Amino acid sequence: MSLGDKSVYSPLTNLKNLFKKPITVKYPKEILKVFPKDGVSPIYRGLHTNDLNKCIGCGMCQRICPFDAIEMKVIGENEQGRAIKKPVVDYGRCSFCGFCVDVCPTNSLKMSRHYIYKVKTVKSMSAKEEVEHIKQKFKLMPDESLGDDIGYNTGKAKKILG
Amino acid sequence: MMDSPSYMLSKIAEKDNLTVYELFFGPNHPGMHGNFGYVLEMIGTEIVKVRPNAGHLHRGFEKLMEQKLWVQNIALVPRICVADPDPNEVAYCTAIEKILRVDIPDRAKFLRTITLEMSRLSSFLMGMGALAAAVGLYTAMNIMTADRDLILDLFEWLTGARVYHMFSIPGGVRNDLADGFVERLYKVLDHLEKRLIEYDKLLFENPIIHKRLKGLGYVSKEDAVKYGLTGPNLRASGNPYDVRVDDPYAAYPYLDVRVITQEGGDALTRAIQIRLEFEETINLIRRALKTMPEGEIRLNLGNLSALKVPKGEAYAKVESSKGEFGYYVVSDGGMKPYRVAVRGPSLPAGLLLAQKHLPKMKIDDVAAWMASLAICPPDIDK
Amino acid sequence: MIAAIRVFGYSLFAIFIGLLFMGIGRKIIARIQLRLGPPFYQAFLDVGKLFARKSITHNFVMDLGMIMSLAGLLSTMLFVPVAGHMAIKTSSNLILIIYLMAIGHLGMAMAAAASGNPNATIGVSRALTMMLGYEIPFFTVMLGLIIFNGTSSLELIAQSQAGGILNWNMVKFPLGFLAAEIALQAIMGEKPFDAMVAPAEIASGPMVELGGKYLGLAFLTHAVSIFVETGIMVNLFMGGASNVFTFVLKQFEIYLITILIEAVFPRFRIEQAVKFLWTVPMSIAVVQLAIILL
Repeated sequence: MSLGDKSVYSPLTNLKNLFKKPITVKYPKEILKVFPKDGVSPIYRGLHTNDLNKCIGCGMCQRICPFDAIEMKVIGENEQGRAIKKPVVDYGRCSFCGFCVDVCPTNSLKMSRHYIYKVKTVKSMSAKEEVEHIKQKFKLMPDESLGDDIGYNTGKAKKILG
Repeated sequence: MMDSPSYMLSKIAEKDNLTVYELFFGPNHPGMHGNFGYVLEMIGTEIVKVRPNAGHLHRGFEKLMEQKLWVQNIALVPRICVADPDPNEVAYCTAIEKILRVDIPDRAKFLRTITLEMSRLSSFLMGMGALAAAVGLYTAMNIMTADRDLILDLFEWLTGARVYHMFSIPGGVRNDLADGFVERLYKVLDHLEKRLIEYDKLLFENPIIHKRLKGLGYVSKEDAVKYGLTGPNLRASGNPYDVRVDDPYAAYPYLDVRVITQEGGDALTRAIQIRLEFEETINLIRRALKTMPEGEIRLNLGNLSALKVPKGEAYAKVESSKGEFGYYVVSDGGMKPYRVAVRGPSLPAGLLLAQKHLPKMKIDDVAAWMASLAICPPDIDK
Repeated sequence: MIAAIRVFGYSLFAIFIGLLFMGIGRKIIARIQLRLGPPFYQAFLDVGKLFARKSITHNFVMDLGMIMSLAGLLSTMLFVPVAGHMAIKTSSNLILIIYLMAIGHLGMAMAAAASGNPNATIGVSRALTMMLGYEIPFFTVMLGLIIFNGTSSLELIAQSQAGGILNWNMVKFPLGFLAAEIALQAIMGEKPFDAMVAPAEIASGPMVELGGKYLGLAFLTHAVSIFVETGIMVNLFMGGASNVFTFVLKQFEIYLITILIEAVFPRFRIEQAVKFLWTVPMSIAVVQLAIILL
């Protein structure tokens, strides 16, 4: 066959797809198994997870963040009376580039393989209040942990930035 | 045609001062992709004047890049072309490396080449699908979207994200291949090669496709150069120019890239050009995988968040699926670029060639014309 | 009173069958596109949702046009014999049926023109141009059948084919069936003759300004038109049917062919479509007419 030939019957051969198994699946009920692990890829750049014991609050992640999504929040004071800061990620701004993970000096900040973030809406709220509510909720607070399912992380041996 | 009914009707309408009306083809129109539009001035169904209506992408890439660190811009540049993001990253990083006068490790070059070619495959699938959808063949579009997903799965495995990979950084790439990735890539390539036969039957042998696209948007050999078309559009007009061969970057000097040219220059030729280059790209990935060396994937440039690029300027160009992407980067020796200028492949076709082709065209063909020239609006608005 | 109930019942039946066909058609197209597709009852859900919506109208003419297009097709449906039964006892004249069918298109034209959107106007002008294209070959085929049977009553034409598959006009006049089948593709507005909707070109044409209940009405109109058009084909070429179930099954066979062609062909430009309809099916129909006359 040379390209540029035409035939009325050629497109009709595609009707055989009718007897093939469809590619799509009923998503929440069944999922496609694509990767060695179930779900998304083993190094997926999903929602962040921070190991608070390791985090020293240096603020490197805040400095590298291209979209100003990370904010250092004071969560208490240490014995010397200095503020302990931990990162808060605003998912309204985050682009999931993963540079904050690359730059973290202690490898405490990692990305998980979770990518669905649920916010429960309160029905009694007005539209304006609801926006503010979601703005506040759509953040990864230091006390939240998604550490069970680590996705993108650099590890000590594979330091990328810095 | 002077004696055609539409012409006569338009003459009658002209007498009654009912001549021209404006039709907004985009940004909110099913035939338009991206935040872009044409304001068409029409008589009946015939276009008399066209006014490109750009500026709906309120991002200002070039200006924004001057306010961010060198490495932060990596997260921004892929957004200039959604369908084919990797050429942007590679071009930007190559320009920085040119100013820094460093040579990245060979394995990094090959990894960049493989991502570039995979990105080209996914973009070609999207382009062919868009062309099919523009003339109403949604079956082809759906099957191609499904096949594109297989490539996106591979990207997810390699880089951690499906669409905006942010894989290249100055000095190399961020990740090495995972275990089992190469076998899987071979499998996907075999699958795509098999599917290509189906695409031929469904799309390229379809008599109605031939009827719709033949002679549409003809670009002569000289015009293609004059208007600054690049990539498959240029080669479909008979100009053997390919950045991968004429000014090789990444690992292309080690690979034997075959330049495909065709005579013809109409929409059908451009569609077949994409189809032929798709086949060639599959072979190119196979060759690259075979000759890929072992070794480092990154050059240590110190702390990249504090990267300072010495004073200087460089232009790096990359052959994307739509044409040549060029990044002109100027550094004043600081933490941030002094100026980044982007040359996008859609700008000459989307703005200049539209002025020549769209007048006298019927409204029927605008979407197919746009899809055949692979106009990707975000790089008009950069 | 009984007549009114019968009319109402027949209308509901036609709408039900039409929507069911639309849902199954979507499912089949989805499978050809290697998708799982929506459930077969999706069209009912769509219509239910659309009628639950608030909707905006442009003016009174638009309301009238939408109602007129549905009413025109429903009244056409009353003259189509469904397995020998009819809502009103009439002669089921073919010529009457074909001219009533045009009211559906004219109503849609009125509604679209009243909405004032240039895309809708282009779409309607295309729909009416397409009508010129398909009516000539389809009428030529019908003329042959009317001459052969000596009657223009759809019911009598259907009855004359009784007694086995070999008596069907489909087998007796294969060329005529082919021409009518191509023309039917255009009558139903499926690809390659769907230039009147053409989402990528004119943003769905007549439907562009419709939303909510109006889009729901357009859905119902489409459903009834599917029922009427396949019903005419079954009566003309497949010998009608002895009971309603066989009739619907035969209708579905006709619809299935349309859907399968729709799935794998892109659309013609409007002038190409009319030119094609005036050459290919037209010449086949003329050959068939000549065979019948000689």
